[in-house]
Amino acid sequence: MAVAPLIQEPSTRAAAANAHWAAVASLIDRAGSLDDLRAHRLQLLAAAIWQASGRPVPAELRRDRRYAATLAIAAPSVLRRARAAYDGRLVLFKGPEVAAAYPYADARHFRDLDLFADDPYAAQHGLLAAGFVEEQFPGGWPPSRHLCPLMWPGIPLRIEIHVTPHLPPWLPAPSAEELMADCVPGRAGIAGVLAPNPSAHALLLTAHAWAHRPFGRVGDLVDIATILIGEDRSDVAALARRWGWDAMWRLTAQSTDALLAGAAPPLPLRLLGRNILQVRDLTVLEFHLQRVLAPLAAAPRATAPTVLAGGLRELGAKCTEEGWRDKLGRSGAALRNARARKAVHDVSTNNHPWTR
Amino acid sequence: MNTNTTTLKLRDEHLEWKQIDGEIVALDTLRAEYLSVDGSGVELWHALRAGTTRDALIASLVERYAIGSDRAGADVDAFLDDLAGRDLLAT
Repeated sequence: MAVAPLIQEPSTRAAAANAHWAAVASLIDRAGSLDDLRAHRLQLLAAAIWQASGRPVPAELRRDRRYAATLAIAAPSVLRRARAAYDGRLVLFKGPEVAAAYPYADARHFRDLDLFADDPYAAQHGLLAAGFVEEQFPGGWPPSRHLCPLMWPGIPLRIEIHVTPHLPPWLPAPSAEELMADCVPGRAGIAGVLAPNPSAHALLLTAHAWAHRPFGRVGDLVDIATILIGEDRSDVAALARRWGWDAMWRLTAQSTDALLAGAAPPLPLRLLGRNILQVRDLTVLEFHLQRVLAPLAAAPRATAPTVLAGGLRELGAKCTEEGWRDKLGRSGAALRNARARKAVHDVSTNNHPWTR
Repeated sequence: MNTNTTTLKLRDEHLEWKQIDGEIVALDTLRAEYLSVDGSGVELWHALRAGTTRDALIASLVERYAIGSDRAGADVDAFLDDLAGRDLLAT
C-alpha cells in the first residue's frame, strides 16, 4: 500500500516517521476484517490511510471518523478553559497528545482529556469554580486514580485530573514530581498546557496499556512507538530502570520492534500475543491466558508470586453486581466459548468487553 | 440585513471546526452547540472564513452550480440568516 510522504524535508526524523507509518499500514493490511481492526483500535487509522491512498472507505468507518472529529474539535476549547481555571502546571497525556502525533486528522479516537496537575485537588476545585461540572455517578465517585470526571456543560468530552497514572497493580508508582519532571510543550498546541517528555509519555502509555489489557491491542503499541519517533530509546530504558519498570518496558519495546521494525518477536509475545502478531481479535481463551500469564513476563521478577496470585484471584472473582450463580454461568459460557472471538462472546453474554 | 458589498466573515473566536468527508463539523464553544454544514454550504463556509461579500457568495454559487442568481441569492441569504441567528458572523 502506498503511504503519502509525511514530511518533505530529508531528515532522519522524517525518514523514521515514513518507515513507521509504512509499517503501520502493513499491519493494517494484515487484519482480516473491520472487527479485527476495531479490536486493535486501528479502524480510524485504517480509514485515514485508505482515504489518503484513494482506497474506498466503508461507510461505517466514515461515520466513526466523523464522530472522532466531533469530539476532537471540542478539545482545544475545553483545555483552554481548564488552563484559565488553574494557576499551576497542567500536563496533558494520552488522547489528544498522541492523536496530534498522528499524521492524519481524526485517526485516533479519544473521549477523555487526562491531566496531571501540581495540585490535583486545587485544579479540580478551580475547574469547578470556573463552571465545569462533575459527571454524576450513582453513589458518588469512588476513590480512584483520578478525581471525579469533569465536563463543560454541553460538551461530550471528559476531563480527568489524575492523582496517579493508571498502573498495573504490580508496578511501582513514580512520584508526582518524577512524572511531571522535564515536561515539554504539548503537541496539542494549547498555550500553557504541557505534555510529559517523550520518554515519560511512552512509559505512561505502556503502563496504561498493561493495566488495561496485557498484550491487548496493536493500537496501544502503535501509540507508544509513535510518541518515540526520532527519539533516543536509551533515554526511555534509563527512565524505566529508574522507575522500576524495566521488565515491562523491555518486553513492550521488543514487541513494538517485532510489529513495526521486523525484529523477532519476544517469546511471551509468540506464546501469548498471537492475536497481536496476526492483528486479529483474540479468543476468550487467549484473553484469560493473557490476563493471568502475560503480567508475569512484564512485572518485576520479585513480584511474580503476587502477580500470579492476583491474576488467578481476578479470574475467579465475581463482579460486585452479580451473584455467584451468575458468575458460575459466566464461567461456564467462557469455557464453552473458549475458542470463540472475545467480542462475539461479550455480545452473546452481555459482558463488559475489557473487564471480565 | 447585509448590503451586497459589505465584508462578511465568520467570527474567529469561540468557533472550532473541521471539514471531514465533504462536511463541516463546527462547535460554537460559547453556546456549546454543534453545527453541521454540508452541500453548497461548505463552499460558503470557507469563503466566509476568509472574508467575502454577499455578491461574491452568490457569484460563486451561480458559477459552481449553474443556477440563476435569484435562486443563489435566496440560498445565500438563508445561509447568512442562519449564521447570523446563531451569532456566528463577526460584527
